Amino acid sequence: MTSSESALAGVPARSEEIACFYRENSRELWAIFYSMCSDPERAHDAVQEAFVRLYDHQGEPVRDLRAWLLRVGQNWLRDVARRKSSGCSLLPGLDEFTGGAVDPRATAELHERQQQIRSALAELNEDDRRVLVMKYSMDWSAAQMGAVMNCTAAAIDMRLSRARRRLAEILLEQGYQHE
Amino acid sequence: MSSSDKGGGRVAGQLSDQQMDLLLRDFFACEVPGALPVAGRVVPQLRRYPEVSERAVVRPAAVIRSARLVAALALAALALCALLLNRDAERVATVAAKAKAAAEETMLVSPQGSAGSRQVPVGADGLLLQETDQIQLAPQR
Repeated sequence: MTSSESALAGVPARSEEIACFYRENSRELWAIFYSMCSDPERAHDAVQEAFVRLYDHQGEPVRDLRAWLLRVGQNWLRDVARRKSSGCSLLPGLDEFTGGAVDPRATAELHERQQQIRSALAELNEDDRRVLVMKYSMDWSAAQMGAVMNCTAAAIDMRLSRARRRLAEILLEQGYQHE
Repeated sequence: MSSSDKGGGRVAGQLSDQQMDLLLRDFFACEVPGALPVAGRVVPQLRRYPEVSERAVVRPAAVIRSARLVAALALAALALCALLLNRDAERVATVAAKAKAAAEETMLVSPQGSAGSRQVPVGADGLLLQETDQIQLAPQR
C-alpha cells in the first residue's frame, strides 16, 4: 500500500502523512482559498481549519484528500463570510503599531496599499485572479498552471498578461499612486 | 496615450507590465503567510532540522556529561562529609573516653581526696569530728 493510498483510507491515524500532505499542499490550498476571498488571514485560517477537521475526521475514509480539504475550506469560508456580513472588522495590522519597532506611518501605508491591490484583485474575474495568485504566490510556471487549468502554457501567458493589464486599469481607476 | 501601449510596454497609461509584475511580486511577498511551507523546497522548518538533530543528539550528550559531573561532585561532597563526620566522631569518642577515664579515676579517690583534713574534738566525751577542706563529688554510675 502506498503512502497516498493509506492516506486516503483512514485519516485519523495518519498524522505523519497529513503533516507531509500539509507541507506539500498547504500553500496551493491557501492560494485557492485566497483567490476566493482576497483575504490572506482568512485564507490561511481556511487551510488550518480544513486540516484540523481532517485530523478530527472520524467518518468514512477520505477518497481524495485534496478535494476533501478544498470542500471543507470552501464551506468554512462561506460560513465565515455569512457571519462576517453582519459583524464589524478590526483594522488589519493594528497589533503591529504597538511596541514602537515599526514605523506606524509606513505600516499604515503598506496596509493601505495592500488593501487597495486586494480590492482590485477582487474586481477581476475568477480565472484571471486565480492565474495571478498561482503565478505570484506559488511561483508556478505557465506549464504548471496550464496543467491545473486545462489549457496550454501560451494561453496561460496570455491570460497572465491580460490579468495584469486589467488589474492595472482597476488600480488606476481606484486612484492608485505608484511609487 | 492609449491604456495599453504595447510598444512602450506600458499599460493603463502609467503602469507598465514590468511594473505590474514587480508590484504583484511585492504584494504577494507580503500577502502569503510566512508560516506556510513551500512545497518541493527546503522550507524553514526543514532548515531547522539540523538544529533539532543537534539538540536531540549533542545537547543530551552534554546533559549526560554534566549529570555525570554533578553526580561525581555530589559523591565527593558526601565522602568529604563522611570523613569529617568520622573525624568528629573519633574526636567525640576520644573526649568521651577521657571523661570516662577521668570519672573512673575520680571515683577511685576517697571523698576526702587529697584535700587537707583535721580532727577536731567535739564535746566533753572526747568525740572527734573530722573536718575536710573540700569534698569531691562524682556522679554514681
